[in-house]
Amino acid sequence: MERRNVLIGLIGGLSGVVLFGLGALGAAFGISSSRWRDRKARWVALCREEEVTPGDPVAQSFSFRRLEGWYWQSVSRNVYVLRDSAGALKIFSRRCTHLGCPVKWSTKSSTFRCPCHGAVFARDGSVSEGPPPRPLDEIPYRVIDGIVEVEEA
Amino acid sequence: MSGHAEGGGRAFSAILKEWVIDKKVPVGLGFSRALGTGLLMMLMVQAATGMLLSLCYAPTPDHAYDSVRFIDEDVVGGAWVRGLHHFGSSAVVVLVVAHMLRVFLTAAYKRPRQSLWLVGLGIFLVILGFGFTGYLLPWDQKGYWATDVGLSIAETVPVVGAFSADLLRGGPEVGALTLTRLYALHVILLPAVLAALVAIHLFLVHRLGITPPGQPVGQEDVERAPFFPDHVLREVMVGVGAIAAVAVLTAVMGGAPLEAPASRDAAGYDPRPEWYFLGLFQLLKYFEGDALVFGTVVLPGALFTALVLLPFTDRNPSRRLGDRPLALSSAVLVVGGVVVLTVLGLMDPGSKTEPPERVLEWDDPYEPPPSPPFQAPEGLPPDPLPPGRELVDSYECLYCHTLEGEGDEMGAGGPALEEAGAGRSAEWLHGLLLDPASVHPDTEMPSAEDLEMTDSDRDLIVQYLLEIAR
Repeated sequence: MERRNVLIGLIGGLSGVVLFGLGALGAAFGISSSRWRDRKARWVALCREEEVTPGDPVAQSFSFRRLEGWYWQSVSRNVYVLRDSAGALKIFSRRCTHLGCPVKWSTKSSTFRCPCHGAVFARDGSVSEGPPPRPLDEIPYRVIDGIVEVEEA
Repeated sequence: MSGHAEGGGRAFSAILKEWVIDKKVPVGLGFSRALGTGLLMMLMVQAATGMLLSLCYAPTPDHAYDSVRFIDEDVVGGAWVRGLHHFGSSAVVVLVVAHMLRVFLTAAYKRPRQSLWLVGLGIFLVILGFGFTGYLLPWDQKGYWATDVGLSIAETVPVVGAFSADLLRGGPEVGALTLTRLYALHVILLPAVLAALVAIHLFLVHRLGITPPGQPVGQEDVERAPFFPDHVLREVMVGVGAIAAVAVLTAVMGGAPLEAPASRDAAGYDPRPEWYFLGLFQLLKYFEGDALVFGTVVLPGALFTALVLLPFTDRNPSRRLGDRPLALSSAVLVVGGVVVLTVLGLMDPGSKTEPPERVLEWDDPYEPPPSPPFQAPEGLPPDPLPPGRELVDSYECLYCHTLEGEGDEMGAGGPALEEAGAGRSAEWLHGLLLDPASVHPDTEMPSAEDLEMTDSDRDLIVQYLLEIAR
């Protein structure tokens, strides 16, 4: 029985080493390939500051390129730019804070409406109706020579 | 529910008991009887590493090479995974041939195990198919040219060759459709067929039992010993040994090779297949002209047919090598022939030239190509060019004349167009365009007729020349 146990131990040990090695390699491979190489975000021009009036929010696009694994992806984003009641410039992400559908400004009701689960946001981004857990995300910006710039993200 | 689970558990342990724990095998089995399971373990490593590679691989000509470089250079463990898969394929070929040789030399293909031999031959073909389809996937020079040559070999098969080659290639030349096709074969069709054949093979091994060493056909009633753990350990040792050898090879070679990206324009490139196809490669040098089909089809086909028919033609009941001079001498002949051809192929000068190294297509892949310039949204698009200005371009006036200081690319010294209409009337300009020589006898300027200029175009050009006249 002694010898038999040694043999069984060897079978388990050898198979275990291979399984552990392959498992660790697979985990490292799977995890590291799920992360894009970190790269410093750069500022991208969005619009002219003078174009943003106190009226309805304006949808503006910006685009940039980023390396996804081996592929240079062209990424396009659309945001809402507006002036708040104090006249300060604000930029809101169009991503509904509930589950990510793109919100749309309704001129008639002066609210942002989500097409998916009935969320309604006020002009200042706060939740007026529906399930979202927090107000619309504000996007940081800077103004250089009258041009509004946002970070690639 | 718990009853089902217990029932499932019981069924599983019953199968484990019958197939492994309580299984009895003939006494006197050595390591050579463990090659099949070693091969199976190596195939499982191929499946695992292949699955990982497919997470990061794009089978299109514009991205295949970059995605393989990404695996090699950026993914943690990526060079290891691809190296294990690459050298593992060689280990699979070595193990399958060793296993087949063992079966041949111990005459295990004889009654009652003919079906086992036939399924095994099918597995052998599928493994060669894996090798051939896997080649092209990195989309480097080696894969591209080996596939090109391999498909040309398929074309030499009489009647169906050209058609099947086009079908595999997805067109008349290796390209995007070849890559998607071979990829689909490599990761979907061949694995499915292999899994089915291996399952049948294992079932038959279990049903028919391991061939008793040295016993003549019909003598299956021999002394038996437990399969587990003694023989299982031998099998695991062969498998783990093969995997360890592949890992060492990967470490020593620093991962799988990757040559320069595939290119049709490969002046000076010497295409060579993987070493296990080198024997066939060498063989094809000896068949000139129309005799090529003997090297590509007749000889390999005859050899394979002989292997298929072997269990039915070999009526010799003995399993001892000493009693099987014909079998032994043919094995020596075939194996010796393949070895000699492979060595000759390796010694060929073309096999020794260093292949072109991989190249970096961009110096730093992490610095993005320049973003498109910011275009501030403007109220109105720019004014379109006046129609006369466009006609000046379409009749290529600026080959000889200048406009706003630009033009006269021919160096003909034609006057500035701004001068042309200065102080002239529309009639005068029409006269000039219709027959330049009437105004300047020595001019090389073509007439309106030479230019096939319509009357309305001539009107617009004259108007434009008058507008810009200074």
